[in-house]
Amino acid sequence: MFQIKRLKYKQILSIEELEIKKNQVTCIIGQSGSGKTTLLKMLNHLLSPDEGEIYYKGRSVFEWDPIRLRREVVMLSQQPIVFAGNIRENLNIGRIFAEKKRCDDHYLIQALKLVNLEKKLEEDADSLSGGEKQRLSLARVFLMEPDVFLLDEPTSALDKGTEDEVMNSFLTEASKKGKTVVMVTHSVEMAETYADKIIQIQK
Amino acid sequence: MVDFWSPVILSLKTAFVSVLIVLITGVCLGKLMARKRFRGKSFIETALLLPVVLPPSVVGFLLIIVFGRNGWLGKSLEWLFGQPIIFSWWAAVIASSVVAFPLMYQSAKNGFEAIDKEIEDASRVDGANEWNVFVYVSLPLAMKSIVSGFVLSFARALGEFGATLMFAGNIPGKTQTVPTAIYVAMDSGNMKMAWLWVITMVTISFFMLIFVTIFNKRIDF
Repeated sequence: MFQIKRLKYKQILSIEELEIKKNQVTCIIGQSGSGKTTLLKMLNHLLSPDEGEIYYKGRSVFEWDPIRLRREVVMLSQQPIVFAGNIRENLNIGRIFAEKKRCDDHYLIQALKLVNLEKKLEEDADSLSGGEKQRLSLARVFLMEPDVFLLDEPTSALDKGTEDEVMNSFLTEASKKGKTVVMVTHSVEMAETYADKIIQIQK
Repeated sequence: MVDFWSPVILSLKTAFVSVLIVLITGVCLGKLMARKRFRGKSFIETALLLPVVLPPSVVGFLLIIVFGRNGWLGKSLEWLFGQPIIFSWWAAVIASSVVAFPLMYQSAKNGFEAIDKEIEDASRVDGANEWNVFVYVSLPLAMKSIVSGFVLSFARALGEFGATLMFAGNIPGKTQTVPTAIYVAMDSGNMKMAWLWVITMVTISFFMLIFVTIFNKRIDF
């Protein structure tokens, strides 16, 4: 899916060669400040390296239209963002951005179950707690149906039990649908449980 | 016999068209100026806000210079439309738009500036193009300010007197709006008509303010 060659970015990242395979869960682990999020942002061209090449589906990411690339390679930031409106609007807004048809309530409710968020669709999204907002963002990203999920610490605000439930059901569904997942996590345990491949980045 | 309704209808028509013009231009420029940084920005912003501090007679004078039959723009427009702009209904619209624009622009700009840039950036990360960011993220978040600007600029357009009198004239049935009609009525001693128009203006203004209050409460809930 992704090939990275001779990548350098400031004093933060230096990667000689790296491949991220399709339909796999790849976890990126490392200390704070080692460049995990920076690498993730380069995969959908939010950041550009100082040197080197990044290929997505055999084509350099610099040749991809950035908007089209970001609709295929969707990133979930570490800080959950909720948009104005209720839960229904927040779940559908990602699809609106990607110029896809809105989902029926049936699919929205299934997405909420996937992330273990038992809330009514009419509820104001801003009234949710930090952990609930994080799960809502994860559900929104899931409904966008991209080819690749870039997840930056997707469960950092969740307790261990909820984290396991959410990641288990999310990754199982993603795998069923043939999606590629690249996930930054601080938890070596999570990486060892779910990852097909672990990339460790050192400072 | 003085026609009560003609100035009222003309005022409302002029104000609605003016406010549509300033809504589009004010919101677009407000969005642009809220985020952009460039050399000369302060100068341009000052120019955009100038009509709000200038005396209406100064605004009227400048409009005559620019759009009058001796100005190059006035000549071009007269050639294009086959008639001069000055002393026409469109002159009343232009005068109202110019004085109302700064209120809409400043309100819209404040609304867009108050938006957390992270939310707009998050939508771009999700693949939204700039139009989607504007329609689905920026506009809803700035709506309260835009509506306030809409009402303020409508009120200003409705109440425009000095620049309208100089540039559009006071032609009954054509350019005589309620403010100029009140002035003429008072001047000619027709206090009954003056009072009727004053009450009409107060009523319209009152209901506009109620609309804003209810609308803002709805957004909050």
